[in-house]
Amino acid sequence: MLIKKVTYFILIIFFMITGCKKNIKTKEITKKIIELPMEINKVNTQLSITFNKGIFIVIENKLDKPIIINRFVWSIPSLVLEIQDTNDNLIGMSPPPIPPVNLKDYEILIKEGENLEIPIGGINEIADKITDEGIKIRVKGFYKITEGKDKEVKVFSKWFFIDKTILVE
Amino acid sequence: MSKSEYTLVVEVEPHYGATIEPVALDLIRPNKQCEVNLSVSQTITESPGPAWNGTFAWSSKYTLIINFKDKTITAKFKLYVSNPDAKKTKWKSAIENKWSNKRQMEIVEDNSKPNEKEIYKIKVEIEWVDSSLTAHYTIRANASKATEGGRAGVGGTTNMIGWGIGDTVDVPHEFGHMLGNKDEYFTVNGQRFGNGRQTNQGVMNNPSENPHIRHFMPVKKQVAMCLGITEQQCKIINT
Repeated sequence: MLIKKVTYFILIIFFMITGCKKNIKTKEITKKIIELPMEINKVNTQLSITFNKGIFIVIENKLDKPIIINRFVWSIPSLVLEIQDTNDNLIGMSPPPIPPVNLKDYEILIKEGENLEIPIGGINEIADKITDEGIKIRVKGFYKITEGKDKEVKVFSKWFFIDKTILVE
Repeated sequence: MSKSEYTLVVEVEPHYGATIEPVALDLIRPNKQCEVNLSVSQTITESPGPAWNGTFAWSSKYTLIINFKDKTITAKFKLYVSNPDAKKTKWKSAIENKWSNKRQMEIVEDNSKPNEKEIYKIKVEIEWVDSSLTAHYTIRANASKATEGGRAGVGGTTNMIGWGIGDTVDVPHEFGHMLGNKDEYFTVNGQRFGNGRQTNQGVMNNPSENPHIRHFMPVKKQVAMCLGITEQQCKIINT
């Protein structure tokens, strides 16, 4: 009976170790996409990080009306990415650029049901900020609905966990 | 380094019957060099568009070289950029022209001798290196067109380490962050500056303008630390 229990225990340990190894290997995949269903306003943001290609944000307008986003703002990593360590402490991005005088000229419309993919820089900065424990990253941004142009609605993606294994090519 | 650590080299070859006259000797004091790595953070509030509100953090990293002979203080930045389209020479010129020789530093090394002031020129130097491993910063070269590849901004500059290939205006502002300066538009750490790109507000508000005396304060602090003296013994003055 005791031998059977010990064998069973050894087998569990064995599967835990091999399972962990397998898990580490899957983290070497260089692309991760996460999607957040925003039930309240139905504007989704997706964050996609491909470490040898860059960071991409996809804005999906699932509302029944067009939305307006500012393409300048949405292309600045410091303005649309939030990073935290595993203890929820903020890891600040580098300072953003001075807003251009013609900031409004960068406003574009996303029709209902349409998507917009925006490649942004910042891949090196993100790579530099990954700690040994890993970091959490998410998209934070604003959009306006066409009927109430002055009101900006905040939208977040889900947190996206990355650790140093993602840097393996 | 204290003055007692000066290297004094005297070579005298007296020959028979000669009288050795005392001569004034220049003391050969080696350059003082310090690696700067300072954490900087700023919280922007009250931006008209809410996107700018937030906390940002970065490191000010460079090599500080104090040359006692030439009376220069040089902040030397090793930068790396992998994109072959990057306008390295133009960026270097834009930064060095904007920041070098714009102010001087008056230093009183010995507090007991307040009248013994030395004046140093403040310079910045950009050195492009071949590897990110030896660089203080890795720069990302962004395409210039406002809508190309989703990039935006004046000439494509997106932040401190994302520089527009066609930009030589905003880049010296971003460099100001590397030197340790914070933004000076909207409200930063509780201090109100108003909108960006105003006249007579200096490079950290308006990239078209030159730096003001206050923009060399981070360097002053580092020089004081490097020399082991107080900040009060250093003063930024006009050229």
